[in-house]
Amino acid sequence: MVASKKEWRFRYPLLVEQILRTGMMSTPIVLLFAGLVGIILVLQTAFQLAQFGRVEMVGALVGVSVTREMGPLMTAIIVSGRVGAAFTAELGTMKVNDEILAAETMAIDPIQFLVVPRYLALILVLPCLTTLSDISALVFALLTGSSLFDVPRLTFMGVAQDWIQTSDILVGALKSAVFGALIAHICCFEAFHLKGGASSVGAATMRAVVLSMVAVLAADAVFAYFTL
Amino acid sequence: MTSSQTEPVIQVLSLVKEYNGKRVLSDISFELYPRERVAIIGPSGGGKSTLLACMIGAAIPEEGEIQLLGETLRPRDRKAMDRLRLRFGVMFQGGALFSSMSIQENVALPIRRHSDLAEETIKILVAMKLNQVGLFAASDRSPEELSGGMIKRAALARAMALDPALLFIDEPSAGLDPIAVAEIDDLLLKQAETHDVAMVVVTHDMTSAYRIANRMIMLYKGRILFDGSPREIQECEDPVVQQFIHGRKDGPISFQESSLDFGKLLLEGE
Repeated sequence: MVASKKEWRFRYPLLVEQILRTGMMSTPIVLLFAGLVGIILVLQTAFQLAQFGRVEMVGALVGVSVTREMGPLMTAIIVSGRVGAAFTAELGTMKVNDEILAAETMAIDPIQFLVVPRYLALILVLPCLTTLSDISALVFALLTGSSLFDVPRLTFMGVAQDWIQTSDILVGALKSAVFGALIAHICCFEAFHLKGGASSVGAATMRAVVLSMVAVLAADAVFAYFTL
Repeated sequence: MTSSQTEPVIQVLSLVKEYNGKRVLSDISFELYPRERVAIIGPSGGGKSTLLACMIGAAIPEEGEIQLLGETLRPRDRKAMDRLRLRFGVMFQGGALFSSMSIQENVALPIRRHSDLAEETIKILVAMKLNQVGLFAASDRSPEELSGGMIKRAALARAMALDPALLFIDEPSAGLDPIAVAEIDDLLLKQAETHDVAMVVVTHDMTSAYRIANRMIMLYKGRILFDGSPREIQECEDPVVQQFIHGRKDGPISFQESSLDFGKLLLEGE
């Protein structure tokens, strides 16, 4: 068989597979984590607000802090530990096992084949996960506020709605997409540049997770400065 | 084979390769002609894998030139390399099959990527390739479900997927029992004869080398020590060659080079 020349074209199934994998891999832990953060935020703030007779403001406080800051940040950190680590470990193992070299020797660009789908998947999935994370945190905060501090549910939701601005949600989504790009970039880069055997996969994974968390926090600081 | 009419499929000219300032390959030159099956043999650290890496474009030599199938190898020119890579296949030591894919998906991958064939045609081609290596029944299995010999056979099917004119094989017998080695050697021979494929086999298994190759090149300390037929290598009087092909413990090839440093450490406390 003679292979005909075929220009590279994007393979959507690879992207869809990565979106499903990263999304499904992270959704349960993101929901759980965000829910617990929502509970903690209410427990930490409602008691103080009650002392000033403004316990109903807990919805505003939790809503704004979660949508503007906590949601994107904690989701990115969970994803860097969960998905980013998996990226580095998987691609690193492929590098050690010569699978990346095998792709190259078959004239398959490993960046297009292995990195681009992961990159795009994280950029697309992270804002969705952040939205889920925001919802989970608010729902658990609502339940905690209403059951432990007698904040009427409608009041909680009304106050939260008054204080959360559309720009908070949009900036949160934009931040998440940037965080996704940073995590994918660092974790794939570490995998592709590791040298040595199996032990270097572990070291590269650890380095990738730490670096991506630091990069996410640094990027968040930059966002905070420009969205003051 | 010495053919003045036939163009060589591989021409290696004065190749030099260094790693961290240490010369691994020195002045390597040879030619390989169609239907030749050369075994690159030699003790560990002799430069076999580095030579293979240079020939498939995975390592860039400091000096010298490699021509594959009439084209000069330019590892930094991705497009030129990719065009060339469609014409040769590589079978890796550990198989290097994609673990997230089934065996048939692994074999189908290069065909899907580099042809516009219909999916049904690709399926038939893949079935043929897998049947040739006796793995048709295992098409849907993932690499983790296969034995070492089956992985090598699947890797061979993938390397042959685009019907290359030249096949590079890295340590086909590594990690296999003698029966599986014989099976793989037999398959390689069949592929070479059926498809007129020239082969470069890197190995240090002499039984396998004698079975597959019609030419032997022995590397020692980064240089070509011997280049000739299997019969000639057996008649070669070089003590290094004799020690290696007979697998003798005593001889000029030392496996205890580090003991000098160890002695120095003990005496000088360094």
